[in-house]
Amino acid sequence: MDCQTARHYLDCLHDGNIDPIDDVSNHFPVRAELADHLAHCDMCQQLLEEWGQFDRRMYSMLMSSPIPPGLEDRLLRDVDAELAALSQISSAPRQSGKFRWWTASLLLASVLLMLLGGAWHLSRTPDEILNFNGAGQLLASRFLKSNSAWEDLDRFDGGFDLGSYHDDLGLFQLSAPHGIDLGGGRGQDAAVFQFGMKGWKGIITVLPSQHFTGLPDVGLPNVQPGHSVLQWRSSDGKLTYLCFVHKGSAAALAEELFGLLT
Amino acid sequence: MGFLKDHVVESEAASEAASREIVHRLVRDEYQIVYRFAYRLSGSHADAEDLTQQAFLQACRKIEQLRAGERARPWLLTIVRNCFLKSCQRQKHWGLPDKEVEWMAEAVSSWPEEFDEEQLQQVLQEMPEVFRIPVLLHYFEELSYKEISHLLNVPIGTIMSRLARGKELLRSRLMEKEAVASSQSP
Repeated sequence: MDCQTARHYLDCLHDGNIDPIDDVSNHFPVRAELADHLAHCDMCQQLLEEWGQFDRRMYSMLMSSPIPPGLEDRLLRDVDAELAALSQISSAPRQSGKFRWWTASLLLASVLLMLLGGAWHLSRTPDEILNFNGAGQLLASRFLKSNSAWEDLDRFDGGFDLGSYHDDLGLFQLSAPHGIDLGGGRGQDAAVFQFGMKGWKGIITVLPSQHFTGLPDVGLPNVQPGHSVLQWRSSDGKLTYLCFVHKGSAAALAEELFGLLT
Repeated sequence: MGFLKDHVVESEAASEAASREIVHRLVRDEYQIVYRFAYRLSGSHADAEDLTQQAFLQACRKIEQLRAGERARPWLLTIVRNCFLKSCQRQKHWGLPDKEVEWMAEAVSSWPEEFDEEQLQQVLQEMPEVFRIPVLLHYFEELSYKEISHLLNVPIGTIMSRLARGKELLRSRLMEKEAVASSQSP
């Protein structure tokens, strides 16, 4: 093995990570040849040591960049809020499935139901009626900030009727709808649009009213001064809109849409 | 059925408490490395904090994957990397960039010694992502070539080549920065 070939494989060796050599060389006895070359070539040996030093320096510098003060506390608060919202929006048990007693309880329930002769009918998972406030918290945790994880969403699957949203949101420039599962057991529970309108930008979520409790009043936008969330129901009440304003004032947007000073 | 209902409620509460404990431990153990990885990817402290937050919020939503034995750190760093690529809409650039040739490093015989944090970050930000991401995964996770290849869905030979060239680029660009800095110093 010459120095050029040896150096090609040195990168695999210097951190003790020899496996790839086998992966790429297959039946070629690279490992033994490389070891033999290194035993007789001071220059390649020195190069290996220098790469090791460089790696250690790089690792040390990459791991020493400063952490913003209070970040840990902020993250813990964020995850607590997320877990609370996830817990609140659905009373259906999540897929824990880890507890033996829970499995046993399910089996017992299934047996009882079968004995009653209605197992086939009752075994269908009922769709959940979700709590609007809980859903709002979950949606806010995802879409309140301008760099929200829009790209993580799948396209809207048409799982519920978007009805007259074109009429209600006619003033907005809307993206194609994406969809989000809030835990109602039906698949996607809300359609999500990116919107633009004059000086405003943000996210509008559209929820089928019949799947939620605790909804805002029909037609009345609800926005608190200083907050960036608007919520209202469509004129026929069938849809509920929850709008997160990333650019521009939410209160001014409400005024523009509904002629209301809020 | 009251007995069963009581136990179901208790199990939900226990499960929620267990989830909270898992996520809290995850945050405490991993937030620094997740943040630093996000910062080196994005080059911005604000973006890094958002990416870190997104990673842990996704951890809350997919906690069952972690319970099922996924290794937490690669899992979190994959979320950060995907969020970063998606937020920048750079996935289409994941192929070799046209300017890769410009980044072909000349073999250098010397080693950078005096580079600082700022120079390192500059060089990383200037590197095309096809090199930067494998290099960062290599240093942050100490992943094997096989694991990086699997994560990035790129053949192992390509990863070896990009990692070797990426590190050579780091070295040569840091040497250049050092040379410029020393020529400007009195």
